[in-house]
Amino acid sequence: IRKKYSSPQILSHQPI
Amino acid sequence: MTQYVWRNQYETVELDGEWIILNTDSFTVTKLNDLGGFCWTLLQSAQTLPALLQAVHEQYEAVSPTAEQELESFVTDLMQRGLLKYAV
Repeated sequence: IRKKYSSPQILSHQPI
Repeated sequence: MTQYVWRNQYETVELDGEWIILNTDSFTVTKLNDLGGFCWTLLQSAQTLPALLQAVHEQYEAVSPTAEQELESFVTDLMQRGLLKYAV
């Protein structure tokens, strides 16, 4: 089953 | 051909289609979408952009004509955030 393409993204990047 | 690979070993978790990377070197948490996580798992070993693109075509349908540029932008972004390096 192939998934639908959506552009690869960094959703968030946070320091801890 | 330029190859990219993880800079270090990272804890990576998938939750509801999102991928969370814990970077214990710089103490950051990075969240990726589904395709970002798919590419990230492949990048655990050295990958070229064409190899990533081919893998995306095999696993995803209706791949955008601009996918190569989007992949390049994504990989560059990960490089800038210290998660990837050039494989030598």
